[in-house]
Amino acid sequence: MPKLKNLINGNKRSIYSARISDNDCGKPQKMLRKLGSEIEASRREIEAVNAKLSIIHKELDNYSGEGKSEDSAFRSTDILDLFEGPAAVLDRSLRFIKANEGFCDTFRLMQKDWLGHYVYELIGKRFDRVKWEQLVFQAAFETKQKISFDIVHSFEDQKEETFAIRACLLWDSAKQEEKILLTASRVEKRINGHFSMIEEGAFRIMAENAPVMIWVSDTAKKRIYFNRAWLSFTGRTPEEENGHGWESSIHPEDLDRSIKIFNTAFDKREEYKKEYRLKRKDGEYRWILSQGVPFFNNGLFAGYIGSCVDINYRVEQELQKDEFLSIISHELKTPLTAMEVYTDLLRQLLIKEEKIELAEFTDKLFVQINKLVELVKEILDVSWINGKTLYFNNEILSINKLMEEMIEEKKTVIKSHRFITHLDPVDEILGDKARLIQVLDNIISNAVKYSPDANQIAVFTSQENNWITISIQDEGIGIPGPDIAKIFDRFFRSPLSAKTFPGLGLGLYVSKKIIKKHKGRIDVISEPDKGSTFKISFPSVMVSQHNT
Amino acid sequence: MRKKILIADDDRSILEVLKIVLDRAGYRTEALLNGKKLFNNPPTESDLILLDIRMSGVDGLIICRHLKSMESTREIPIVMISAVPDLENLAKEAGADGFLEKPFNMKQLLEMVKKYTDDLDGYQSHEQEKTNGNS
Repeated sequence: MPKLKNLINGNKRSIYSARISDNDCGKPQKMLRKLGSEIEASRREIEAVNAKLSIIHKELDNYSGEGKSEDSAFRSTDILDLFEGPAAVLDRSLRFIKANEGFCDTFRLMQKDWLGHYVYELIGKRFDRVKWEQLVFQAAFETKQKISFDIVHSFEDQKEETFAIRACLLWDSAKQEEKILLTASRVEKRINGHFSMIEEGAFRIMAENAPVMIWVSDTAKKRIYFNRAWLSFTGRTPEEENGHGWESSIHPEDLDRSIKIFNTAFDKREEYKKEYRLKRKDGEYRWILSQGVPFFNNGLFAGYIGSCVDINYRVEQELQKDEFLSIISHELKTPLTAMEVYTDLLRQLLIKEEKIELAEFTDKLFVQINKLVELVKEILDVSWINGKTLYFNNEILSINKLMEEMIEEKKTVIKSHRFITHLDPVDEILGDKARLIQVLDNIISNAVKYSPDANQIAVFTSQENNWITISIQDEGIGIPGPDIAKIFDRFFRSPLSAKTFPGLGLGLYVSKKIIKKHKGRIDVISEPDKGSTFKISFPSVMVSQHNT
Repeated sequence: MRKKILIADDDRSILEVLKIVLDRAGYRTEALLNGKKLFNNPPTESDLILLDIRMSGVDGLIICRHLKSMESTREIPIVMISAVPDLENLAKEAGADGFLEKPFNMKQLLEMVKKYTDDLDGYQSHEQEKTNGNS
């Protein structure tokens, strides 16, 4: 407002010069006249200042956007001067009100070109009116997420360039209506993506060219970016994949589970890992290992970023291995049967002929055959547990009764250890009796096997709320800290004890799988040289039935 | 009269050992390597049939279903043998009376056979009905 200032200063000067001209008047009348004229001058001065103040007020009102004058709406477009890059103000029907210099330069437009025209008539003409409106309003309403969308603009010389467009709403108080502020930024060689992070040069180049599939999700669980590896895998466009579109490529059998894992992790802002089948562009479903992590911008949760790799080969190999193991295990069972029965026959004959010493050899033969039988069963358990058709009984069981039966039976076989039992009254559970016996048998056998220098095993049952827990405690060699997390892995054998204690390392793996199928859990507390306590917990029958 | 047991298994070693054990236990036995014969010659004289489920050529389950559907053989108890424990349900659905999982030992085999040949309340009474019906 420099002109206003000049106006006021100029006036002061005129008053001062009047004073000087009247200086030589020395008489009272002259003094009075002088005073009268001074008052008159002051009055005029005040009026002039008032008039100027009202102009200043008006200007201030216009600047604060609360003015009532007609031309204030036009002045609100002054905001465009703040933008060095392309920016324009549109009305709600996407008609230009004003475009800044940057906009005109970038899109090679003159004022006559844009004035009164609609944005979709001039730029990004591949999108029609409906598409433009949809994208602009989506971007404008979700300003917090800083959503931009890409348009491809064809210049008169046939050259094409991609621009990322952002939009936000402006309230024009003069006209009492909303205007739209549009900004555009040039996207160089960008292949896809509605994601501002991807605009950053080095990161974008990395993400686009990474040999893994990469995606980004916004804070509303919607996917906003897929890299080139992903798009070439699915053979779909970013427009098809963004939001929830990509989910249509997940195998129907894996869809619910996959979304549940994502949602659960997302709500807790946790990392996650999952495997599911994704349709490749040739229509074949491939097993994918997907990992996701939350990311933060200035400490604020900004969404999820994830990577996917095709693990189909590995999964198929595993399935084939399980199938192979299953077949050979079944094939082994037939000769084992013949061996066992022949050994029986031999034993009978030798006893009949009173060749007791020879008959004792058959006992040793039996021990070896039984070892083989156990190994075959272990292998089969693994293929069974990973197999597609899984038959599971669901009957109401008393854990205490089961434990009592187990311990009675164990007492007849295990002479090296005595059993201390303390069974609290607990609720019944739902489960498969044979499979639970298998689990308990495995844990108790381990307790005996890994405590060769001890002579007792303690077994407890207890209940807390709706969880029933069986604790099996030994005083054996214990498990070294780093191994605890691995003992439930397939084929895991502790390097320290593998030589001393034979086995395939499948027992706990199978046990954990069975427990999981019962919606239960297994935990271990262990201290080397002191012993281990395995705690197996199941939901009570009431909970299980309530959930099913 | 000694009980007659028909054994059908495509594995020669199992067939042989089953025959030896059952012969020695005092049963009359007939061993078949190929189950197809059972379609044309129903084993009406048998008191028990031991049938392997996976026999090359004809599936043991089909033979079981066939024998259980024919008037002349319906009453003969059938024990199916398999290395796959999950097949027990299928065997029962096909009409099998018993199921013997491989590997089994001599004691388990003889107990199973005894159960379906000696059972006074069960199969002997069936025999009774059969003779009554015939007379």
